Amino acid sequence: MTTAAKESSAAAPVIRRATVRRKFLGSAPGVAGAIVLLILVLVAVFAPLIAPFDPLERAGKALQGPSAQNWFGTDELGRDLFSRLVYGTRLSLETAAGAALLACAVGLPLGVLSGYLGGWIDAIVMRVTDFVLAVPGILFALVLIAILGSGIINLILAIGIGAIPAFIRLSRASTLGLKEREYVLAARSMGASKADIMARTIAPNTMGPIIVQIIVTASVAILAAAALSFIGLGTPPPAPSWGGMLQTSRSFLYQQIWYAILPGVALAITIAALDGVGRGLQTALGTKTTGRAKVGGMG
Amino acid sequence: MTDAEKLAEGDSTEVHDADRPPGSGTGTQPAAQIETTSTEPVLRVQNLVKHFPIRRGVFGKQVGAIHAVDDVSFDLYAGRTLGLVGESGSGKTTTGRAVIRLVEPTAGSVMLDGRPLTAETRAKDLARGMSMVFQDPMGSLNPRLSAVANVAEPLRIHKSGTAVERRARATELLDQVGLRADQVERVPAEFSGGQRQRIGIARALALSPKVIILDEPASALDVSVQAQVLNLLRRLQSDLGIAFLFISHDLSVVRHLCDRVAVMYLGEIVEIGDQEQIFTNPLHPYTQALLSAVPIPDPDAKRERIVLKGDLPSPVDPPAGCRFAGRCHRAQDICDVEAPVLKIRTGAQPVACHFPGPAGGAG
Repeated sequence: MTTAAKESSAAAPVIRRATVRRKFLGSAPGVAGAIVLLILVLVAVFAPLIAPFDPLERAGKALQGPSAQNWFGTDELGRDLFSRLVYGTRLSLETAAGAALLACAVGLPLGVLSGYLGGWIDAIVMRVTDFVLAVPGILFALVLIAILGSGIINLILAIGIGAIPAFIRLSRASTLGLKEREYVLAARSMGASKADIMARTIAPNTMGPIIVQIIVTASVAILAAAALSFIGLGTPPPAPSWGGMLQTSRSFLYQQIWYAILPGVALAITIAALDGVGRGLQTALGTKTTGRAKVGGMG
Repeated sequence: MTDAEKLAEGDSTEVHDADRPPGSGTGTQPAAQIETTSTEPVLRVQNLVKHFPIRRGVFGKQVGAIHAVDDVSFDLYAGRTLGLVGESGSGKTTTGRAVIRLVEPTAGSVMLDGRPLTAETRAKDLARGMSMVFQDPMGSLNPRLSAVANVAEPLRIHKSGTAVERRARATELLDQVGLRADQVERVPAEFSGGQRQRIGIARALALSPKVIILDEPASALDVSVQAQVLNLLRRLQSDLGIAFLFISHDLSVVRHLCDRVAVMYLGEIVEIGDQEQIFTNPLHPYTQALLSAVPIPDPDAKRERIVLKGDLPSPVDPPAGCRFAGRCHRAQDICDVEAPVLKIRTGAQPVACHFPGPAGGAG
């Protein structure tokens, strides 16, 4: 495998699984981020086993500091903070994954379609994209939630829809570059239909930058969800959302300082982990920086 | 636009390669290939024209056209190889792509195995009769698919057999081009250039086509690897009786592989004939200039080197008379006025020149 790596031409921008893996593992932020993210995912998946208490039930006196029974203390209703943070991880990651995958599932096909077919389809898709991008992401989400009502599904929809244009632009740009490549011509010469070429040949080859964009979108979505919960438009109480916890904790800063600090720390760790993974992937895939600005500055 | 029509119609009564069935020339075909040939060409291209429109302004008004291919006609017989040679920009690649309809021809007809190919011909029907091998072996393979999956792609597109059968067939094809079964799971990036081109050739064979268009299949490879790939092509042709349209700028490669050779200049065929005729007795001054540029592996060999002056004229506004006149050492007044048609003149093979003749002749 190493000899094959040496003799292949450096000019061709090629995705080779072994190289990608090696480069990712050589990137410190990538490895650190991946480890932390893995832990967070495990926490989210096994939340019922990890959390000592039900996050929605009383587990002691209200607003207590850390103790042997309530490791991070309790909130104003006497609920165990550690358990609420653990379940909050699940909520955050669900929102992040939901929004990012929704945006990708809609944006990637539209971008490929738009780039490959061109013409009026391209014109319509791009105008709608411009329209969505012209509205600030957080405002867009606010309006959608105002229309749809709050709740995790609507939160995912609101954030996910706002993130679609970035995926459209990214996959459209990749498609424009790919459609003159000889392997696409080769597929055409084999008699492949346009749908087949788009689905089997073009879409898989746009995946490099798209994967990075999924990670970026996920971290933006977590911040946006926290921000929306903070102003009372995210997941409604009593759901243990980190943003919601930050919001209520403001009233009790003098009684229970950990109540305010810990959700913030959890948010920071999650965002940092996603950012690390994103950077590691960019290094490994050789894609240029996909700036946050593309998502519409929702954080 | 009107130019295109004029060119398409004007010369349509001229000589076609069709009236030269195989074996009638002084050709030196290997014995194995004779038995696979028939008198009907497997591929007949007539008066093929491809103009790329140049559009300007808000409404995309056509202000001109790049004359990439103008009135190209040739026949290709089963088990034979026709070489299409010319310098960069001579239209040889566009000719190949127009034949397999990767670009839609502006005018002209292509008959594959006796049936005309039109814009209505289903892409899948076309692909069953004709396939293509591209110049860049890395760029023409899907980088995300393994070698065996790449070769199985045409079979998948044509829904031939089950996934398992397709893999088996693809592995068999890869074996035929000299790739071991334990290598087939690798992705293209993990192969050398020559191996990649073998994969490309295996893929072109997958649907058992009658014709394969080879667009500079060896020019991106090292010389030693080139020879292996060319020998592989020869062997496959004598085994399978496939006809090759071999597009190349490398005359020594063309000599090695082709039975017939068509020389292209600025979108037109200027001379067409059996390999031996073209290489030992070229009649067109352009062909002679091309041949004089081929290195001879003999330091003592003496010959006259014809150095062409000037550059290829613009294909947007080609010269009115002979397109080669501006660079030709034999050009006279008539050459700037009247375009010479491709027909048999002094020698054995058709040539598009007012003053054809052996190299060095005054003309």
